[in-house]
Amino acid sequence: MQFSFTEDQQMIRDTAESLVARSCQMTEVRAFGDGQSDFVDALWQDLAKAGFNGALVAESHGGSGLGMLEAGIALEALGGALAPVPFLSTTAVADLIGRLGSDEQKSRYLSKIAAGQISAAIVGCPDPAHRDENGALRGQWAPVANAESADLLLVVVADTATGDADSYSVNVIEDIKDSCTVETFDTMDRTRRGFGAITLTGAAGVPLAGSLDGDGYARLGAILAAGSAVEMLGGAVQVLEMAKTYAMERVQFGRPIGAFQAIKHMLADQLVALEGLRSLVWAALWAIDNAPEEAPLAAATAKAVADQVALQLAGENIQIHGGIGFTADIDAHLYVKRVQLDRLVWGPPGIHTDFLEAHLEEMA
Amino acid sequence: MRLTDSTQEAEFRTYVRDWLADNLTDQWRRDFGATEGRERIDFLKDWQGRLFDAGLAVRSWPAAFGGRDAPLAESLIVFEELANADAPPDVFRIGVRIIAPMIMELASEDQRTRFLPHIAEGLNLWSQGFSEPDNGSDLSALTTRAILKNGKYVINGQKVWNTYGHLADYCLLLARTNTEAPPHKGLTAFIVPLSTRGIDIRPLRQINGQQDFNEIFLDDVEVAEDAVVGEVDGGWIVAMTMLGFERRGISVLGFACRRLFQRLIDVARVTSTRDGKQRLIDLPGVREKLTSVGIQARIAVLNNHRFAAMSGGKPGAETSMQKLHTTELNKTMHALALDLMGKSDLTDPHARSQFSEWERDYLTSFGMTIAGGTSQIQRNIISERLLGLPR
Repeated sequence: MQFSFTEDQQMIRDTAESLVARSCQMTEVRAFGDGQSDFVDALWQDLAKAGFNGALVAESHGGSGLGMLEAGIALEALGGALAPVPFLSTTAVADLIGRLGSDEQKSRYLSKIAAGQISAAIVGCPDPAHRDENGALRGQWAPVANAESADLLLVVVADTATGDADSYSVNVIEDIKDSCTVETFDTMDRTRRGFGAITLTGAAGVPLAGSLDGDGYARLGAILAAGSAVEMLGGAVQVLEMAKTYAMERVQFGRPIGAFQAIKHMLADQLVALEGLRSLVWAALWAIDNAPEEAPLAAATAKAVADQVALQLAGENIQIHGGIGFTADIDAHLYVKRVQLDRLVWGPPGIHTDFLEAHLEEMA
Repeated sequence: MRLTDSTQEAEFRTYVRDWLADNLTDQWRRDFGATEGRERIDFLKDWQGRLFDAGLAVRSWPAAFGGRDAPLAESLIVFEELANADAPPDVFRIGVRIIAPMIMELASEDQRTRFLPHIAEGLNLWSQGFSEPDNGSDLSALTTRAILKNGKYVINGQKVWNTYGHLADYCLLLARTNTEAPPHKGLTAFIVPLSTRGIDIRPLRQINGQQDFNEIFLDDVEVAEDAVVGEVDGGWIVAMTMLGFERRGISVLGFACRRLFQRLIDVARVTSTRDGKQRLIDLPGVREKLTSVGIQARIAVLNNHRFAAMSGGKPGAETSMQKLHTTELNKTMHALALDLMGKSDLTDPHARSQFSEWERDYLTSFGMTIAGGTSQIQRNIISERLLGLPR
């Protein structure tokens, strides 16, 4: 085993981190929160120019032809910066179109995704849409990331008509407002906008040429779970840093509060939890690219732990800050609010531990 | 990044498994089980010698000292396969994994030549003489005294928690050689043969019924000047080096935790509730707890590989994270095992004998969160050395 980044991957990491440091500073994030725009387009364009939007797009379609590990490197940086961009949805959609689309469909969408010209949303994984007795597409989901601003909505549909329990088609909807009801999903997370409650109203969009079998559906689930987990890891890294910095600066009883064991031991436990999460996240991203049969279990593990550890660290960051942690004068609250939503967006809380419990024997 | 074996690693792993299948047989286990005390050590010396001859012991050591210059990843394969094969505890781990790496780094050429081959082959058993009744976590305040008199160091004092001292050949002992300097700058490390006159070793009774560790009383014990390891008054760096290797060594417990997880699944699968109506593995509460420890066992194994890739030959403060995590997990898992046993039908004699074994192993797990630096000390190290918080 060689459980470390290659030099190329480390370079990609350096690029992502400096890009985000330049184009997604906290002032930008706070201004976005107070504003009205869908997402920070300047950041979106910078990501596209650096090849990140096209991480899972083939080079023949203007992408970088990389893998989920590289997309994950970008997601970690974006999560840490509380970036107001729909990177994960769009990346997952790019992967699906690349795998299932006809040549015409791929040409229609992929290069625009890679170039940062369109963003996407996706529903149906988990909870695929189904067809009613008239063949109309039915489904309801909330919260859906990027529901209100996406140019494309992909809907994963369970193909019960084929008699095969594990067969799914994927529909592409371009005129989202014509095909669904989209209601705003109100959230206190101001670092992102456009979450929605989507109800399909029967119009189907256009199916991608290919369909997903069980493995394909599992891959999509793994991408969303691991992608969310690595984004949450990025946020967790930042809140630990924030808590540590405060513990070193805040003086009470004649010394920095970080000199007291209660605070020290809390932060030590946080670091252990964080490093454990990091091992799981990278292993999941690696599996998606290199060991697909292991990816579903690996991704569910990463996401289950991210849901718990990211919330623990974001919450304890507020606790360590004391009174000021409870105000909106510092940024700690931004991370908690984002984590709370991240625990819901890609499936209800507990769905990943449920999956693991159902596959307990395989974990051994 | 590669989370599978390379071709070379896979071949080596097959070799290790085949070797273990041929050598760690049921008959060997029966013979081992029948030994105790000095006889057990001799039995395990033979085992260590065989591991050495097969190229499995000390694989990552430099070839000059009896190793194969192999990457750490291959040593991890050996530890993992030993854990998977339920190999007996490695009594030579103190010499092999703690003292020898320090000797390679800090000892004289002569000491390396004299001691390393014997450690590698299991010809000598080593113990550590660090903690004292009044100085455990606060090691640098230790008071065992070594005074240079007529070309010899005369040592007086007392050590405690000295594992295998009653059976070992040597002790790596830390003593105070300078009372003027700040406490941690007045210590010297010595290689002390335990047969030296003036050494009185008294076994202590452990809560798990075993007697693996001891008090050692040193009464005018004389050692030659060449028994000093490293610099005179430079014993603290020797101790810190050893503790870093000790923490990493303990962390291979992560592989044992994954093996333990497999055993817990097996137990839950074959064991029924007292009313005989369900298997334990079908109880939602049991599945939830097993999932939780299974996740942590996966983390422990992944951490072993990731941290090895990070730190290479020289273990740093990150080993404190591994030590804290794996030893606490080990304790949690043994508590869960006892709970599973408690849910079973204990009127069945077979279940009762299993319960006894798990009970003893559960009690043993309490030692691991204390030895090698308590969990509380590890948290101090993590927060101070990795996070930079003030002491």
